[in-house]
Amino acid sequence: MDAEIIVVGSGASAVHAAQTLVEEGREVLMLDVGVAARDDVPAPPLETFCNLRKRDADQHGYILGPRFESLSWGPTKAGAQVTPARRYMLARVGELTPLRSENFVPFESLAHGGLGVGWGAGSFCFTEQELSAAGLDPQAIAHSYATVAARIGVSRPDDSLIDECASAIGQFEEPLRPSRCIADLLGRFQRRRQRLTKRGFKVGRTPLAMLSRDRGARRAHAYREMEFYCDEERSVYRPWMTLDELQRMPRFRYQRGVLVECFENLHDQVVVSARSAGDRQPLQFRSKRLVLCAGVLGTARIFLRSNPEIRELPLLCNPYSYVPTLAWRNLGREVEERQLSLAQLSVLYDPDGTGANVSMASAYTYRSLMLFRLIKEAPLDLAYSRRLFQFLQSALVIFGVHHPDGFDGGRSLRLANGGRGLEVDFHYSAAQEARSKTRDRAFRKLIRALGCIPLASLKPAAGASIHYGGALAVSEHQDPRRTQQSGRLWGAPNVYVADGSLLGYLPAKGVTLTLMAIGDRVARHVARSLG
Amino acid sequence: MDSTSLISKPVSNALLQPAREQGQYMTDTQREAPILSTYLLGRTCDAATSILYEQALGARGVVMTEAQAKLWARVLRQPRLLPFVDAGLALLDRYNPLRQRIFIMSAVLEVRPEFAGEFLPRRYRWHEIGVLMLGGCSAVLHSLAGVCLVRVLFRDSYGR
Ligand SMILES: Cc1cc2nc3c(=O)[nH]c(=O)nc-3n(C[C@H](O)[C@H](O)[C@H](O)COP(=O)(O)OP(=O)(O)OC[C@H]3O[C@@H](n4cnc5c(N)ncnc54)[C@H](O)[C@@H]3O)c2cc1C
Repeated sequence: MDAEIIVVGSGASAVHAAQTLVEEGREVLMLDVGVAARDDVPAPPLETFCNLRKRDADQHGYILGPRFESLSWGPTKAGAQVTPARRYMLARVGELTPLRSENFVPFESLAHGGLGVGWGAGSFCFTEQELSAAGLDPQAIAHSYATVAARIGVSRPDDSLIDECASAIGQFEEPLRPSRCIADLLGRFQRRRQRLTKRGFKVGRTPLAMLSRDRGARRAHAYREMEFYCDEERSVYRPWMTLDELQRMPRFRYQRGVLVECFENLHDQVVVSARSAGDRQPLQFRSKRLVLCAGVLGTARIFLRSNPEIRELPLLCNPYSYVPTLAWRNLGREVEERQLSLAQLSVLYDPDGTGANVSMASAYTYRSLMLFRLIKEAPLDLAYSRRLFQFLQSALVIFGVHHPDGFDGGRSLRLANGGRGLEVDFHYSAAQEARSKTRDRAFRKLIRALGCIPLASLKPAAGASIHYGGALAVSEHQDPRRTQQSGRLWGAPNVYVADGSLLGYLPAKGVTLTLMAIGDRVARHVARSLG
Repeated sequence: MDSTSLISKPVSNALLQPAREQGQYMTDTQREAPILSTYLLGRTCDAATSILYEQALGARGVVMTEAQAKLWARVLRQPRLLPFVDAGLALLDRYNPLRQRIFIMSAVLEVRPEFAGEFLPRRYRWHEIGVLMLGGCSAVLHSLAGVCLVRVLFRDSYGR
């Protein structure tokens, strides 16, 4: 036996599953492709974005990249905002886990720490209603939310959002300090609160996985606006930080460079077949239990290869669009030196007031993403575009809008390329498209009421929301393509799933805090199953 | 660290070392950088910025056809054509390699501390906003004239 329990992956769900297992006294081996951070991107000095821009002659290294990789030319594609230091998050995916699709463009990661390397730290609890719709037991998950929130530190949202976004979190960090532009929007909402609440909107500061006080090796956030470029003092939580701590524990081992291919569930153990991500040599591992946390698409690949009789699986992904807007009252104003580049404001929209299908938008300011990404998009000469966007940027607020997703329309995941890759077919139903359109319109109205002018509504291909679920959703029925409440696969009693695959419904809120809670929850069941 | 203590030492920069070593010598690409800088910001740039531009062009592998290279050479000889060609291409072929060169120069200038003030948000006075609006009108005129000019200069690709 190589380990008592094998956990696959090192993303948000995996590290919290592993931490709980280790805390329960279990011995864990984590298998991961684990692409490492680049060491050729210089770390910026510990300073504010503005000061670095004005004084650091070496800033091109971390802004444009040692190979100038940020200077991509052509229409902006998903991932263009990923800065050089974070690019390893997406490395080797096309080569090791290819995906073919005409209508689905997902984000996948094989990095040490998974997609959490670049996540925006928006940390939301699902409501009881949303958890039930997803097939999860709200009471059981509530405890796990509190556990993982205490581990990572979550800033307090405004009271208006507590019930819908953070009800299970016991202890908060202080609320984030909004930039002047965002504070203006919040103020305008307050003044129109009654009217807008009647229309189904709630607006407040976003709960973020970010510290307001020093804690161990992590420091309180200093609002340097460098969140996209470095993990300055570890203020914003990322899964690799938990992995760092785990690697110091005697019952935990981390083996990177391992691409898990499939498993075989035997009577009292699981055999895991894998390949070295370097020379592709076959590898084999044995353990009493296997916990799959390879991200929804990664877990689906491993599951389908292990169960050749199962041809396809379903998939969930939130409909997503983004709306660049101008908070015109801030035009030509100076911007404060210290601010945040993560989402500062969240808007919930529940038009029928039932809480059953809530949509959500998050608002970001733009400054730290640099003008060069914008000016190439304007149909004007670049010299004037530069002057124009320099003027506009103090007022530029981007709203990212997510809608919930259930099993509606045609979606399927299948193995392709002789089992190496995945083929995805993904369509929203006409009813869902129509609902998203109506809601996008309502959001644009709200954006105007908050004093912003929407400039466009951009709809990237499905998959761009970066929230996935549903491939192996929880079910009461003994279906080999489904999981039990505990995360255990109905068809393989020694194998557990502990990522977004379990969710039978995908609320519009950021899913990652829930993934961490699922990791913790499933890990408790795994520990208990071993007696 | 507070903002007053920031990077007061000269910043070492291996990338820009060749600028110091090469003295007066400049390649063709380095010579085009000050022209683009003057077009984009109304100010010329130093040798270190020119070398960074050359390295960025090399790294991005900007490839021009023979016709594009000819037009580019002409534009560099007569920089007054630049705003027209840039604006014309912005409407006819936004992601043309000629514009890519100007875009790369703009990004390089944006990451040079001496030009940061031209890119970071700042307070605008009313008259500056007026000047910007007038600039907008002239940008539109450049675009219209630019489309005609590009159609003439690039007859094979964009001529009717
Ligand atoms: C730019 C950006 C911003 C985001 N912002 C937010 C936000 O604000 N709020 C929010 O809730 N979410 C956000 N997200 C989404 C969030 O990052 C993901 O939901 C979350 O990180 C997914 O975690 P996961 O546990 O599913 O695993 P992933 O992060 O997908 O990691 C999968 C892990 O499995 C490993 N793996 C995969 N296949 C194999 C295999 N076959 N063998 C071995 N190892 C394998 C990989 O190496 C990796 O470590 C954002 C994402 C991005 C990219």
